Amino acid sequence: MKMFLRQLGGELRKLFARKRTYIGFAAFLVVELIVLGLLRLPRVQRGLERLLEGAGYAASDYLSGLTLGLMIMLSTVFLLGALYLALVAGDVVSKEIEDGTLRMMLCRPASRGRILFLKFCACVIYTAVLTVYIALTALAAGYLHAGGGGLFVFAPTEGIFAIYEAGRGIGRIAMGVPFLILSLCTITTIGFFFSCLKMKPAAATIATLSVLFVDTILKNIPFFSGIRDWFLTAKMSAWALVFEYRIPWEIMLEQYAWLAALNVTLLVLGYLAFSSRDFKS
Amino acid sequence: MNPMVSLRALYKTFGKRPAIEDISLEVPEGEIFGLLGHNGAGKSTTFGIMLGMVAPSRGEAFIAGHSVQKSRSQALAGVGAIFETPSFYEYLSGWENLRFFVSLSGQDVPRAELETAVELVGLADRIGDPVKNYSHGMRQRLGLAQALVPRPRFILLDEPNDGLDPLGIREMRGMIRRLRDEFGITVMLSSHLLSEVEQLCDRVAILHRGKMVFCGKWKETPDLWQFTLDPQERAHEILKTHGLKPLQDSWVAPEGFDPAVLVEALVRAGIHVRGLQPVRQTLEDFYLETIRE
Repeated sequence: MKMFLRQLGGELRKLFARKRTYIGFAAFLVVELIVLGLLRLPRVQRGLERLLEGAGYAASDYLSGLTLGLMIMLSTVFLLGALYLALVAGDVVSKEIEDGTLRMMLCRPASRGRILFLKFCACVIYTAVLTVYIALTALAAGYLHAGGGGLFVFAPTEGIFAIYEAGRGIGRIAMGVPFLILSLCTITTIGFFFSCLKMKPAAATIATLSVLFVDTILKNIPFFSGIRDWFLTAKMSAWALVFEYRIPWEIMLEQYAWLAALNVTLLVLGYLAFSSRDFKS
Repeated sequence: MNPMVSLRALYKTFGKRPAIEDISLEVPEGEIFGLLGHNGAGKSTTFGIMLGMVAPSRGEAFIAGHSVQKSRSQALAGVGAIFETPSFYEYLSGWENLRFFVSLSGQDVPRAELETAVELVGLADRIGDPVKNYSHGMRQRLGLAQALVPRPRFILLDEPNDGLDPLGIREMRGMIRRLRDEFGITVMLSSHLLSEVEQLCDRVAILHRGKMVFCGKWKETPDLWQFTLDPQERAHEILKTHGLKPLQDSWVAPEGFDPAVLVEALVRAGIHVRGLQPVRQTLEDFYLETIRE
């Protein structure tokens, strides 16, 4: 275990010492500020006030830092998260093959399975760190702009309209973040899977994004509304169900079990493809 | 003595093209062994199989008695290697690179051992610098340092002199000799610099188009002589009666050949002996001749 942690520490050092690892962090901050700016537009503000006041709530109580923070998270996480997680996970194996550093690793007695597992763990940790960062910066931006107050959640595609006092609102967000991490790990796993195949790092990233974009496009075609829940991105949105008054745990469990099965399948396929390869320039 | 390396009937095809065919050899402990061949002869494929990076189509490689194909971790536990051009994480320092690769050995290596390896390869002053600032020679040294920790019993070096300047080549030669002489490490290397292999290696194997065309002590090749005699035709008959055989512009002498006896016979037969000299065959001559054959 001690050696595993040391090796994982080495993988993380490699990951976090690269400048490109931080592009995602910087980009999220910029996008969050842009979304915040858009939410401040009078026309957008009026729309939000109408929604709240139409349901009998005082807009001043619920157009708070929590609400804005969550809105920023909802609007940025899948859009940009996919891009940066695909970039990092798509690179993690294939870039090392391209650079020749994987050859150096394979000169060591560590098995290919162990090397892949270390890399996957590093990617999952990166996913978690990025997600927590997004949540904290989004909430900080919201608080700086609108101060404290209750949480108003409006997610029409998930059919959620909910109001919480500040304490419970923070609790629900805290509960949602781990599920969001699990959802985003699916993107990481897809990127990782493509990275294990015989393809260039850029191709692995593009393939990952293509899967997500095609899935999103198909999901939003009206003809497919009856099978909307079958789509990957719909299952990944299950994290937002923690904002329902009565959390539908059975649905969440089903959706996450499905995602877990997909992730395990992709990991096994990636491992099989990686293990059967000859590494020689 | 058990061989450190034993390759048994290795065969590998990429697609339909055979990369190596029926390679079998043994390297005893404490030997410096050279693997020679043109580009594409199968050297890297052989090394790749020995490190478990390339799966053989047939055959098996053993290191320290363990099959690389069946129990890779045990087989590579005492192996240090530079396989093809050493590559590092450019944005990390030499020390961080070293620590990372060494951690994959699965052994708890004390810091002092890392420092000793860094000292040995002469990188102590620059080990804290990012690798992106290293010259080619420094990268080769770092590659050698990572191969030396934890202390291996067998070290495999693929083109260790590649891209080094004359001073670097000399230093590398000195280091390889020290590894064997001071630490008893068995070394297997490939190089296109035949003069280096000649100075370093006890035995060599020559691969040509995937096949092993020679394996052994190349210096144990026939004793060659060149003669300047007049008249030639009669002289050649006398040479043949003394057991000498023509080989291109030289003559292969039989075992126990005494040049004085031959000269006496030639003079008695009225031959003008204008010159005779042993041919000092270099590894390059031997290699090219073997490939040509």
